[in-house]
Amino acid sequence: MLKNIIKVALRNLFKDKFYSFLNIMGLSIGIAASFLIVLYVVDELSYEQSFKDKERIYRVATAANFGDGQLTNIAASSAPIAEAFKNQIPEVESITRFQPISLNITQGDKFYKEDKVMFADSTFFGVFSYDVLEGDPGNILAEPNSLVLTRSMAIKYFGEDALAEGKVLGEILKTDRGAFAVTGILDDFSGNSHIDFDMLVSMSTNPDALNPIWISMNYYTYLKLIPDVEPATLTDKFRDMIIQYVVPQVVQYMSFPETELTPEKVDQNFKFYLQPFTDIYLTSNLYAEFSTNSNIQYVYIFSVIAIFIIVIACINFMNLATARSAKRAKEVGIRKTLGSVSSKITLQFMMESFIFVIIAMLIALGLTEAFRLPFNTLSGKNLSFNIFQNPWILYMVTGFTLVIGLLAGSYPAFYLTKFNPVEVLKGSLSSGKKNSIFRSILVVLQFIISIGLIISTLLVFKQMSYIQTKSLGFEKENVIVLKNASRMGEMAQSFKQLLESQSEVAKASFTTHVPSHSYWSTAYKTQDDEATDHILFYGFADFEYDEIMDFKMKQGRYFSRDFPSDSNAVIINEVAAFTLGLSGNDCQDAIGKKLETLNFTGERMAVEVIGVVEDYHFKSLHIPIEGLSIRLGSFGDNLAVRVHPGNHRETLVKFEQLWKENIPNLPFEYSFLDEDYAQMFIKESRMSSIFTIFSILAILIACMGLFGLAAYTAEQRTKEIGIRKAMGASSKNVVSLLTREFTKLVIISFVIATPLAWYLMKQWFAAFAYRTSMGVWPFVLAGVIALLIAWFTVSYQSIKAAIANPVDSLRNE
Amino acid sequence: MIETKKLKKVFQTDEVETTALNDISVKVEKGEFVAIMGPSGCGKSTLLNILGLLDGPSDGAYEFGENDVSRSNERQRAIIRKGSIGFVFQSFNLIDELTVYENIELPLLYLKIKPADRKKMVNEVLGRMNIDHRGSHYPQQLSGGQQQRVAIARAVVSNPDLILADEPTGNLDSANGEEVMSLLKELNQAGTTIIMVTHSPHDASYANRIINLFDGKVVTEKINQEFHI
Repeated sequence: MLKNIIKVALRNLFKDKFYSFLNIMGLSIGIAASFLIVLYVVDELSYEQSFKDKERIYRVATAANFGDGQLTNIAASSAPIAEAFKNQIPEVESITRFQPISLNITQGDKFYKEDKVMFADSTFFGVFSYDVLEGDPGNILAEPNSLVLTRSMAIKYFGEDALAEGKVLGEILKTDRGAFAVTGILDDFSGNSHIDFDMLVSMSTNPDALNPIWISMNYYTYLKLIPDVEPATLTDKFRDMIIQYVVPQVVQYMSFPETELTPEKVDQNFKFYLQPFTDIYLTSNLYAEFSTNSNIQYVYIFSVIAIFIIVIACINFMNLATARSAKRAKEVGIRKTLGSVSSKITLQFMMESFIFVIIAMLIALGLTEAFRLPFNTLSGKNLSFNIFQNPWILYMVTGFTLVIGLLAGSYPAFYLTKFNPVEVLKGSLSSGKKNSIFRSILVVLQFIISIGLIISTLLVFKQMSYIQTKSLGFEKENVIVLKNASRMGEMAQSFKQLLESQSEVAKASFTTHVPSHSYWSTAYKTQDDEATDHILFYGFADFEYDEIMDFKMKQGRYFSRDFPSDSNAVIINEVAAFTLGLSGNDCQDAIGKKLETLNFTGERMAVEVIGVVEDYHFKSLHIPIEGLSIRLGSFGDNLAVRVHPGNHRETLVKFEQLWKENIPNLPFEYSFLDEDYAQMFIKESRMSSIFTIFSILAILIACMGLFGLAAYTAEQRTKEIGIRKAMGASSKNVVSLLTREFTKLVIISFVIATPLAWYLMKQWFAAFAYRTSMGVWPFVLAGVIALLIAWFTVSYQSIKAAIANPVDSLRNE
Repeated sequence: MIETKKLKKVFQTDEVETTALNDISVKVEKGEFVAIMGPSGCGKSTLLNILGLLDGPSDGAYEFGENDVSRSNERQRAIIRKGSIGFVFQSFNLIDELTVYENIELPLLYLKIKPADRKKMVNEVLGRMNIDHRGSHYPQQLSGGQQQRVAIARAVVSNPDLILADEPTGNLDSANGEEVMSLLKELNQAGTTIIMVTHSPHDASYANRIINLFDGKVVTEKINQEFHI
């Protein structure tokens, strides 16, 4: 019996090669696209999952009022918290700190710069269950100048053989922070985590780790709670510690009157709270994150798209199968008269659906693997589709096959078996108006999804172009930033002049920060209001910085060699002027005002405002521009060089040569300012590309379905078309007859899809601090595109039917 | 009004070539009632289709009125066909999704006749065929005889010069068949030229001239001495 069913199924498949191909391809593409999305989503959800006791691990975050009346949430915490928590909160099982640094390593005559290094407490492995290959986890980060390497780093610096022979432990690496001894080796981390490092240095090497300042947040603190403790129960303990430690320092360093700091006031202005470790990657977007996290929103969006794609593919399958049911009606009638029972026939058609789905699934597996690498590049991930490594994939494949087979196969199967054998064999079975209403609903559903996706894609594109072309308030093109400038020593000025004498160079400037970097921040007070601290970002730059950045001064002037007093001058932006209450008279009020701040040693000093610069985006366009202050100083680690437009590659080669000739002991590292800036949007860029591609796929699949359905409909109505032509219909009449119905469906879909898409996209737009308007044209364009697509796919079949000879359709049976 | 000279029609299907018509030369004057007879497969329907401009000949000449339509393409044939020729088929060929009224109205729609005029013409013909009470019904709800009457109504609603009927009584019982033939006779007496394909000698007796076909060729032509009244 089974053999019979399979034989019939395969023969049917080959009989209508065109429809079968269309159906299977549509399904395969849909399944493959969904698989890729599933791989992506699973990867996103897998962060931190490989750690032991992950549910008990938390990050200590700080919420503080920086003088602007709001609480700013910071991912970092202060140095003394860890010890204090461990001693005073028994619920803390273990606690550790780490701090990202970079190291310059010299080995023989080779220089290396490692950017993924962290200072870490000796308790690091008590919280995070990394796989320690060599060394005792409890000890390897205890002594100062201890270095723990990952396997890859060990091989990089000492070679595979040394590692294999266990000769790496005890080796010394010379760095710019001293000579370190390798005390431990970790296996390369195979999971996903927002914490990323290649090397660890013991925290005891870092003198600052012992600093007692509670109001300076420069470390990341993570802790593991004892089992069965709710973080919320610790709020009171946290508050007590803030009153015990933070308040006195606020009084001391920020001259806050102690009487003002009641427990309620404290609570409103300073808090510690715990963030679950596993939530950080997808939901945390605080100030000073370790690295840019992802966004759970995208996980939802892509999951929804995957579902959409599968739904569209299934709808196609159902539509085409039912549409062709009339051809199978005769077969059903005969089987029934020969003794077959309804349920047997249902089973037969179900099995046929499954065979179809299995074939589609096999092709889909091939497609998924084929497109995996391009998708990895697109998404910036390293996804693998290996059943042996990830057995859950097998479950997914089986699950998909079952669900799709059942879903897509059920309607046609049940529909077909209801046929009355007598009516069928007599030939008086009509294709049924009820049947076509259901089919129309399916087509409308497909087009709602497709139109929704087109609208969304156009709007995403609109926003991304806006972001990419928005004026930043400074010139980011043609600026090369050379690093390690702060260590040039006496060579600094002369090298700068050497560069400036090159024909390609316009100007060069030393600066501590360039836009897209993390700026330092510090507090300023105005002379009128001693009580209030205003936190502004700040950096140091030299006399040429304004020419590099090409920003506009709103009032006053930039630093100048003509004014020796400029060493105590400051330039602020418009937002800063407003924050300080000095924005009156178009910011003219700020000029000449003195501000009080602290210098590097913590002593009070006064600086004079000599200029107000027009706001520019020194940080990401994600957030509104914040207050910025620039001080004069040429010790910055960045040498920003503005070059004339031209072949920057050649210019770089020249720079590198000059560097190597003059400062051979420092590594030559550079970046392009415009690329650095674009990096801030890399995630959105990627999302938008992925989104566009999958939307196009969804639409493509919908078109394939529509094409097949139109073909079938035209074929079904061949006789009717012949009659109408005999009655005088022109080809135009026939084409418009056939396309009219699909046009109606597309218009209905458009009317439903538009408000839905508008509402959903409004939420997405709200996440951008700088956004363009949604406008009308994306919606109109989407409608036009949908109509064109519908006409195009349907017209081919319509025209074919319209120019056919009526005789061929009217031939007497 | 129509004349064919040495008409030939060859059908190609994959590897098989069938010559359906070979050297057909006939002439039909205005107002005639011509019956084309012959056994199954002799090419009657093929000839009718070509005469009705539903198909084109492979060779030979065909003059329809003043037009030489021998090598016309489908579009050109459609233009000439519209409004000039009415068809009555053996299996009625009504559109199931349209009502009786809408089926009859169809040719007028394609002639771009104004709605008010259309209504008048359809109602008139509904009355003439005695089916006015069936206007809003669907073909499936009618008996065979009624369906054929609807088909005839559709064929005459635009007052064509020529009506082509292909085995009009083939699917009907004798009483209904009789009725249909009387209708056709009436139309002819009122001035409409009729060419009818049949293999019923009884039906053929209504015509005033009988052309016999055999294997794609005309074998005899005779004037019907006894007109059926």
